[in-house]
Amino acid sequence: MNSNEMKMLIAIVRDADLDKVLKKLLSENFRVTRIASSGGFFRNGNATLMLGVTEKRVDEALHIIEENCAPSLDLAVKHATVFVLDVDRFEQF
Amino acid sequence: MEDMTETIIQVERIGLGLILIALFVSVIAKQLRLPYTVGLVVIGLGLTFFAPEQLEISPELIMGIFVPPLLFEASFHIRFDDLKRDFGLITMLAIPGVIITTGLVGMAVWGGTGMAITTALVFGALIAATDPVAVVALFKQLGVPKRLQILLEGESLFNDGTAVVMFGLMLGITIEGEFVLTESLVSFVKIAGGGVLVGSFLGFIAAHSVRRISDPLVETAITIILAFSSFLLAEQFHLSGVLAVVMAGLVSGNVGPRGMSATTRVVVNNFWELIVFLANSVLFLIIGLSIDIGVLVGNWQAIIVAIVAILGARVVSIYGFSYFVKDMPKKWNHILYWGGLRGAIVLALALSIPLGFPERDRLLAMTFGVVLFTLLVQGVTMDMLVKKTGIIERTESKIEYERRHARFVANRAAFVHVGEMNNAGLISNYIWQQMQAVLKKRETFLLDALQEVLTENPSVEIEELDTARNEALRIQRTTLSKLLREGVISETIYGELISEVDQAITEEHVNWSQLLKNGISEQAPIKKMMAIVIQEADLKNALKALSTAGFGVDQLPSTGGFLNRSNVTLLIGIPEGREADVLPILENACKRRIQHIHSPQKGSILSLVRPTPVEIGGATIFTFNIEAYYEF
Repeated sequence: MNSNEMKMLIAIVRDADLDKVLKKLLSENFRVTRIASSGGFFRNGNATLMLGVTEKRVDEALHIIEENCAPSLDLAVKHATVFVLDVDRFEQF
Repeated sequence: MEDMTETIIQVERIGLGLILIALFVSVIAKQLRLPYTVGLVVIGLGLTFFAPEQLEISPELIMGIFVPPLLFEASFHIRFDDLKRDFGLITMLAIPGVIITTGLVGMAVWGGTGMAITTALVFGALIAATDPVAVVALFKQLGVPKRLQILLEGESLFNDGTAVVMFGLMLGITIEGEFVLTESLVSFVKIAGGGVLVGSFLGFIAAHSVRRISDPLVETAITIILAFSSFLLAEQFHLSGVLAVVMAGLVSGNVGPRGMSATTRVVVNNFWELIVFLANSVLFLIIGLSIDIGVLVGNWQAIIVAIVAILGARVVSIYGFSYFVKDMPKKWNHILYWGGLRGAIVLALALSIPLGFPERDRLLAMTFGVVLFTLLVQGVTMDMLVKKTGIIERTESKIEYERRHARFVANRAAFVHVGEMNNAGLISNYIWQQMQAVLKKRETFLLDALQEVLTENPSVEIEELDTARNEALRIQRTTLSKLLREGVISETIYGELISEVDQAITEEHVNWSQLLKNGISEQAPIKKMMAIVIQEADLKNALKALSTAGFGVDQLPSTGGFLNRSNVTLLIGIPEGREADVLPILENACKRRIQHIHSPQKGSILSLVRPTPVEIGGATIFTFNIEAYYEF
């Protein structure tokens, strides 16, 4: 696998949407790491997901996240945020 | 028959004369920026020197003719939603508050003047009814927060009822000379509860009939009948007429208008505005006219005792009860305190003390004295107090915004209304097309003007954003409840969604309007991501500072550092060119500081506890270049 093609996605989604997003991502063969978010200081319970994704599949992953997050009832709160980062080196054992 | 005609004509003459005087006074008072009710009382007092005969006014007349429209109009305009917010405090002030006031004032008057304790308690009960009419008009003019207005108005609406009932009980006790607590309690509940029931029932009937009729004049007439009949009917059954009117107004005002057309609402509102103006004018003039200065001077000591007593008792009730309301600015207490004016109801009650009752004249003098004091001293200085406490911020731009906004909304209403008439065939297409063009053009112009003020004044914009967001949340909540009631959604889904809305409503430590604003307006593209590790102790400060500056923040929990204290990782998307802004914000929010922690020293024979200095605060910041950033 050519490392140049790898991107890291950091997605922050609400707990309410987490199950659906995770299920869909996994069923589409994305590798997802969930960072625990069981802290008392969390507002409405956000979960952070890290995904290593090949460049070709970035759009697909974004699409899944967008599709599976229900719109927030509060105008001031977004229901998902995704950062796409370039990855210098990617190795998998 | 002839006699009656004569009397009616006589009343008409006097009434017209009073209205004429009232008109002059209101014009002059406006020029002097004084509450016009205060002006009316003063003129009334002055007129007693010239009036050929003392104006005899019966308490039944005041209660039956002047009080119902005043109470009805005030309660008709109070929304349940607004009332609900401070219903706890209003109820506290209206029931235990009145009882406490009665007791304290009664005791003080008994001690200070030496009159019988029962007589003193009669005074305590009648003087407990507040009447903020004189200041509410002023509040509207000054733009005092609506919540504060509702508090003061709500308190007065409900404590009038309780005070009238208490007064009746105390009077009965004094005359009959015996007091049975259970009996008093039962009749208190019966009279007050009965009044509430009668008023609610009539209000409901009126609201429903209004829904079936669509004739502005008939609908307005229904409100007139409702206002007066609820009072008379309740009194007929020896229930509280005052509470009946208040409830009739509240119920019909909240349920009714939904069944009214826009035109009807305008007609009804205009009608009651005029009626209240007339009733208030004549009433306060009569108050002035019926005060006998000679009697006041003769009882000056008792009057001073009474004034001190009511001022003292209100300290206890206002500052005491508002202690339990956590989300109310402390400054408001002073306004509520000083806004406890006394007016028509108090006078009507005092005048209704039966002739031959012990110390009737002294009680009347004390009541008049208190009313005069509250009106002349508290009413006149209210303006100053409001300005001094700084509870209103009204900048030039806000006034300008209000002006343009009002024009815009009025124009829009005209457009909609005439459009509907055109739809209904009441206005020809030819005329509508001409008018439509003009109204449309104006609307565009006003909208531009409005936007100009908004963009130039972030504070006005944020305020409106806040209002819009709150309204959106409120209606979502109502809709969810409706869906549940109608069986469209299950209890589970309802619970899930309602908690999301409620969380948003109660969220406080983040400046949402700022976030909302950033979400709507064009924003520089996000080019960097910062991962910031700070200590949990600084989280609140940091979040507040960052979101105020308009950064959207996500948090991750983590542990680390000395003694495994929790820290937090914040993820922030940084718009292009704003990287430098983050550092000073964080530096400020997460200052490094030394704190001493008490930790047992391992290895020592005695497990000594020695304070160890630990440096806390600070932040570790990683900045990443990101390829892309998305928000859904």
